[in-house]
Amino acid sequence: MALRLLDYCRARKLSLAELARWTGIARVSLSRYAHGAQDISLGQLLKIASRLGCRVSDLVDDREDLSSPAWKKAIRKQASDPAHKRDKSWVPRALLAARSAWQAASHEKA
Amino acid sequence: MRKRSAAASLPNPYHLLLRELTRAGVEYMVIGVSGINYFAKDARTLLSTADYDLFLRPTPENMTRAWRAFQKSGYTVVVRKGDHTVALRRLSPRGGQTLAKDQRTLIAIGPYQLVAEGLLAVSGFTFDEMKRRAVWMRDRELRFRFLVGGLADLLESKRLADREKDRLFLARYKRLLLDDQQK
Repeated sequence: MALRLLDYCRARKLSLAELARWTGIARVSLSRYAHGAQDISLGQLLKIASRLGCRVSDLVDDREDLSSPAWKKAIRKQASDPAHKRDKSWVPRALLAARSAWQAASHEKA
Repeated sequence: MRKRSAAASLPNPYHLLLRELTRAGVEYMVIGVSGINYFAKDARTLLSTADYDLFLRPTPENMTRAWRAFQKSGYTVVVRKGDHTVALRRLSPRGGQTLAKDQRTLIAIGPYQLVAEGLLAVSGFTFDEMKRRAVWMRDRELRFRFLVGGLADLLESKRLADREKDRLFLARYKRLLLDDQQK
């Protein structure tokens, strides 16, 4: 589970080192919590939330997890496709063609 | 005589704009869903998007160069001011500095109802960080190369932006990619 520590620190113009000083939790640990590399205890989570003046639930990062091995592998595979070295002029063309078709269909419906 | 394909005879306004930006020496990268689409293997896996997002290096000089290139390509540049937009008919060096400082997005409205957005800030990355892992793509017809943000960075930026549309996009893209891998 990752924490939204970096967002909160950024919003409060606070560095992780400063937060570490405030909470007495090592900066390295805070960084690991922020990236979901280490699980945090409830006690420490409460301490951080109280120092930052937010709720515990605000700190929990429930955004899409892009760190799963399957997802990372899929992204790597997609990004390293040899087709990317070829011509890419078709991409905006295909999008524009799709958009025109969609617009034409909406006009017909109207 | 060389035969031209039907597709090649179609205009490619976004790439004409990119070529103009490149010629004008603008430092930019294609980002957002438009950037992610360049990693698609075929037209079936393209994801629709209303605009074309560019990440511009946030310096006054780069802003001025970009503004000129947009104008030259027939685009009208507007910026948001509160809840309305204002056309940027001229851009003085001082105006460029203010835009860069405030990290205002340049919205370029062009022919064929096209909209290109020149962003000066994106979630989670500076221009240099994103440029480090950006990928060169090429347009062989127009004969130029352009930078597209790295796929992992573009997805991470969407994750960090965390708007409703980003969540929906990521869920859809994840399914699309993982399904594709299983085939």
